Amino acid sequence: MPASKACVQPSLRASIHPLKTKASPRPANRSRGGGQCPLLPGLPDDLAIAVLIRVPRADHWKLRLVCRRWHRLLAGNYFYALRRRLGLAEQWLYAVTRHGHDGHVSWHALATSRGGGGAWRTLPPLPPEYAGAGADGFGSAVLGGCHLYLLGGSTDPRGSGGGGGGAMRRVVFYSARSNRWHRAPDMLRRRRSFAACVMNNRLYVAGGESGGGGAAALKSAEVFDPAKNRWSFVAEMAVAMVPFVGAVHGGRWYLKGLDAENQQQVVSQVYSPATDTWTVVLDGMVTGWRSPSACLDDGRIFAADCKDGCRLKVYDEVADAWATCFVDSKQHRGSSPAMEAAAIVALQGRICVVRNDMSVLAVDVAEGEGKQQRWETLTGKSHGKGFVTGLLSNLAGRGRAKNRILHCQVLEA
Amino acid sequence: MEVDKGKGEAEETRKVAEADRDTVTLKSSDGKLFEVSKEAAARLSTVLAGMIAGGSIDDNGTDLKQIGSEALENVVDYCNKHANSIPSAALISSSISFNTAPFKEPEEWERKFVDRLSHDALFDLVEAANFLGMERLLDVTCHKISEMMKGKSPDQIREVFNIKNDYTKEELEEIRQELAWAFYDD
Repeated sequence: MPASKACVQPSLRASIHPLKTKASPRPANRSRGGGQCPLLPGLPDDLAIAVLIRVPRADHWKLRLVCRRWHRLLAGNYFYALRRRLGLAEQWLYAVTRHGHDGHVSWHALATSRGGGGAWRTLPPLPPEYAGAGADGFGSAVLGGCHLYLLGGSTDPRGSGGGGGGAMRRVVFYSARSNRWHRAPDMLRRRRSFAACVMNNRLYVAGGESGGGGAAALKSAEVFDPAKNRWSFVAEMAVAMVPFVGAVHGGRWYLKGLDAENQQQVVSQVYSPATDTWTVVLDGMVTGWRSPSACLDDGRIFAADCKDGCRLKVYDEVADAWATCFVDSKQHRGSSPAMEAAAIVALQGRICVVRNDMSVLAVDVAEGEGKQQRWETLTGKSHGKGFVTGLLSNLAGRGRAKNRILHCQVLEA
Repeated sequence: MEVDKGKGEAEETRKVAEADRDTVTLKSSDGKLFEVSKEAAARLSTVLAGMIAGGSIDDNGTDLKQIGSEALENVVDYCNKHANSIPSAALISSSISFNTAPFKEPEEWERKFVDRLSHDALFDLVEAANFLGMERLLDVTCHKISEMMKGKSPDQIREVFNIKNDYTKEELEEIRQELAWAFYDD
């Protein structure tokens, strides 16, 4: 045995659960050791953890109720970091929606992993600043894969209509790991109807309005670094703008919106974090682009090619133009607001089209061009109580008659 | 990796001699002998691969003092079954870089293989797989145990795994409150 052991050790490098130099034979001995109970009687703790990280995310709340040690394990960063490292982290879709009837804002999650499918579940109320009917113009972004940030916006029920009610500097985030909301440092400027994005795990915000009447348009842009837990200004935008669409592509942040000084004019600009500069752009990337879009890991950027997102287009860098790609579900849903593709997100290597009626279509764009791509319906329209009443209450002539998706993000845990 | 590095010529000749035998003999802690395909053992276990490459395989039975006969029988069974099944490309790549490769669901035969095991046998097999550096088997067995928690209440989980409830009633209620955030479905 000693001979074999000597050559055994080095080759163990690949194991996630390094051998103990001295294996103790039976569980009874182990449990006596540290004075605390083993995580799973009969297994050393490192192997018990290997078991527990494989439990599907939808069951994690139960694990927390089993005993104190399990609760501590799931509350710590180690558990979820390991899940991510071993490819076990599950991505769920989260949607923040405005209710069609009374305008209040709620949020919902869809477990999309491991055949999860199923239906959207309505989550407990958002923090009060974001839940009311007046909550408007706030931004959202995901940091670190598992923290959903909601920031800025205004709580004035009249929205941009009146003076007085200004925008907020407030920032909150929800952690899919701890399952809680937390406060984060306020932004440096009050902001609503602005754009937000994440590059290199830093959160950028730009433009929008400060509210409160007068010359309210913002030219400033800020960055939040979670490592420093601090906001700081970056270069001012080339043009003050109220963005309506934004995307990160090729390490740069593209924004398209209304020129604040020249209200009717659409303007596009791009921010490069490497040089900290904003530049007005007029190239093919921005000319054909006006709908939500998403980037895959391979860098390709996709956007809806029609209102309901039944066709997708992709930006072709060489031709410097958007081209309708072969991704076509051949099931046109019309252009009613309910069918509008409110968000396009990348989920597990696929592009998902999320419509205002909460239906989610996923398509594998990696599959060979020219071939028929597989479209999969992850969930039909929501049957939740809230949505049914939303559909029934059709307030004619009001834009808010139907539910509307304000933000759609993917959180991993 | 260690196969092609630091190999002398003497070692080379011995390897040729060894190649005559296409099985290796393993000895459990209680002295029972098991034969396993050399190719499968080397492919599935980093530890056995190291021992085969290092020439520390004993023809009269290589001592594996940490592993009981029941667990070793299951290990050998798994290796032989695995040698018969056609390994998918995904399986091979996942055994190369376990740390980064995404988790692959167990295949049908692997499912059946672990399903027939008793609670104790399964736990012993997890330890044996870990000791022998058999990442795929470790994956499959851990997955199986995690599945045993599916659809069970916290009470049932405690019962099945013999875990002591060390919460007070108040604490439990507090955590339930906290978890009102979560996906509560019963």
